[in-house]
Amino acid sequence: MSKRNEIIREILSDEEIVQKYKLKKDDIKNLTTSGPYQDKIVEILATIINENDNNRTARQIYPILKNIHKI
Amino acid sequence: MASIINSIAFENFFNYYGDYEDNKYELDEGINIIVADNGAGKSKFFNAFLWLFYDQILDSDTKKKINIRNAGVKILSDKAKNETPKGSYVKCGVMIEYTSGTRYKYQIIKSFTATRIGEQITDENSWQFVINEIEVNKTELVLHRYKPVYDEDEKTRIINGLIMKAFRKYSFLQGEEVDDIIDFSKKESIEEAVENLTDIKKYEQIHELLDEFKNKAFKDLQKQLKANNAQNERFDTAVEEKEKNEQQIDQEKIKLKQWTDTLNFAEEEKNELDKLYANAEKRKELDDKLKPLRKRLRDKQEEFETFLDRINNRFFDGNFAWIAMGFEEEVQKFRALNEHYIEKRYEKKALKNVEENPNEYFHFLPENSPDSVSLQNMIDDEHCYVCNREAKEGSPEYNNLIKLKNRTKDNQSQKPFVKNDLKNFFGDLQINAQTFYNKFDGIRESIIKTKEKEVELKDSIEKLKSKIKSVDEDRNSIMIAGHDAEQSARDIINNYTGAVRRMENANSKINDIIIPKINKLKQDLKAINDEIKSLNKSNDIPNGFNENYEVLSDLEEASQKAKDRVFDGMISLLEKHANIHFKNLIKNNDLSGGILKFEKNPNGSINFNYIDSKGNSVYGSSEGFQRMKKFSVVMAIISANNAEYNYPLLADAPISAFGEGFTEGFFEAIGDVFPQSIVLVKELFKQDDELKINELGKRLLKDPKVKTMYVNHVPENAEQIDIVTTQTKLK
Repeated sequence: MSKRNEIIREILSDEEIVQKYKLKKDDIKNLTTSGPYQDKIVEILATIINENDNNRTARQIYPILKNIHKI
Repeated sequence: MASIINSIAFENFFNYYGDYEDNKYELDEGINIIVADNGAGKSKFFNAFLWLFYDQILDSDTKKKINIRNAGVKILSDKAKNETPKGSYVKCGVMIEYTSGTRYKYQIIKSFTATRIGEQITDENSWQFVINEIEVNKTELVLHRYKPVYDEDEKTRIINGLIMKAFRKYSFLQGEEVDDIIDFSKKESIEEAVENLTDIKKYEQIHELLDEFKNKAFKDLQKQLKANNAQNERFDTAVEEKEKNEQQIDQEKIKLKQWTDTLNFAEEEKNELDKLYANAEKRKELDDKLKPLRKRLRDKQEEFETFLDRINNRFFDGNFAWIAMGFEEEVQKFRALNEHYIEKRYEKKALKNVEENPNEYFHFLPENSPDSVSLQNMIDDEHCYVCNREAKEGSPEYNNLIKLKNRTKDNQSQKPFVKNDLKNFFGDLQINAQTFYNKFDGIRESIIKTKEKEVELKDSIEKLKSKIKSVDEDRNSIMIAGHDAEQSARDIINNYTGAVRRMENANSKINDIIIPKINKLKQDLKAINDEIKSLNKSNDIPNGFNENYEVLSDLEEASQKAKDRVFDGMISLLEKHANIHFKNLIKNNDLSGGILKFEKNPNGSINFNYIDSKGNSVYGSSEGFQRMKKFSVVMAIISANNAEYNYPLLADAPISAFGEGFTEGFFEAIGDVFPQSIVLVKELFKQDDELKINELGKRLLKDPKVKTMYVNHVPENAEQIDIVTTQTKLK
């Protein structure tokens, strides 16, 4: 299992997140950081994890997140 | 995939005189033991690895690491130095062969060449050193010939492949170094281990990013709201409250930081003193025992001195009269001689006077006896007390008394009749010796008694001395030195209890006051945030801004929790592994079974305690025990990550000094954790044994887990230039 997938699964397995964003526990077990993404929250976190690994700075990553929300 | 060291060889490296073939240790997967007495090349093994990885060696004189460039004279074998003529050169180096996985085998050689240019072999200026390029060779296992590697990056990769940088410190265990590797008072110490074992760093980075994004998202949202509804009073107040609340949290965090610093400082001191504390307590106990013993010894010694002084007096003191011993016969002789003398004297005197009045010149009392006072009494009483009869005035007896009283006057008128008249001298002898010869009967017994008294005093002094010596030895064997020899046991105990008290105080401040307050503030903040969120929703702004802020703040919180989960998970895994190893390590000792407990401090550092069966923390306990605890953690760090960590352990049996039970446990435990271990140990050495190993050594020799065993030898009482380490392979 890649480290990125491990991290995204660990963070999103948080009970409050699961409930609030109506994520399925089985889906979380198979989450990956590569698209396509069904949920926005997954897309956001996957982007942060991937771009951080690409050595992008916060200033470079934030506009990508805003794009996801179309703002 | 494990890295296994196949061999290590030395060329003119310290006492390893000769070329690589003469000093080669073939090693195997499993446990490899090299038994060596002091000075027989144990630390040189470590120096070989220090050279390999860091271009350093540990100077055994100063205990400091020095660069290889400044250590040429020290490293080069003295015998090799001595045998190199001026103008010639000699090589010195280390060679390690290792296999990685099932395909490749590597050879790494580090060396230098020394040319002799001066007379004095130990003088640095007598040599010119040239550090040779690192030689790295590679072969496939099925082939036999090495091919050189030229690419610098590949060379580095091969050297690092032997033991990965992050794990080197858990792989080299030399004596006290275990204490430095795992220092639980320092947050970094365990954090570093967790970092090496998990992706905690990544979680931290992601959390930091999310925190920053959350704030950015909030500012974006705020801008939108201000543009949309400048009159929204409730929103402005809420934002104000939020800011105020955040400020308060920051303040509390500053306080928390100060108190955690205090806690850390106290804890660091406590841990530093931990191993000293038990020793200090024991030392103080012995000091308390020594004090009265020393006083008793002083008293006894004084008594003995006085006793010796008195012995002199006993020769001349009339009560003891020791000087008279052996003179028993002399009294008779004296009497006979004295009588004879008196007779002769009177004969002489008589020749002059006896014809005139014989009665005046005959009396048998010594000269001047009776004394004049007694004579006056007799005259006054008209009674002679010498012969106990009347001496009425006018009677011949009375006249004789008068005459005796006036004898001095008469004597003056006497005419000399001998050259030296010794009558008085002998008379005095008789009078003065009287007290002595009356004591003849008791002298022997008195001397025997005195002698007995002397023996008794000497005995009790010796007993006290040996008792003091044994207590003193016990005391000195409890090392407090090494850290601060000046610090007395009492200081250590005071500092220790002080540190524990400060820790408790800081802990209660942090846990009972500051953290609850921060939690309360955070709760309030959450309520304010929720309110802001709901106010936002009622405003007419693009939904994406709200969503952006909400998702990012939720993720920020979740990533923080995930980070803590990963950390805690690793800590409990380490705790589990450490306990397994700890049980193995102590199983041959009579330590009562407690458990090792890791507890997280508010500041993130890990409290590492030994909890007894009743759940109480055990403070103190011996240095060996402390070492054992830490060693269990080092092993846990390796075993908790066994899938990725597969490197050899190189250990100068870091616990063997604490007893055979520990050593045995150590060998059993490492076999399960490390794919290969190379252990250098002194305690198995036995000079007068045929194989030069003790009973435990022989047991280990038969143990199937032990794959190779060597014994190092150095010639006894040899000159420095003749010291050469040779080795025998027992297995």
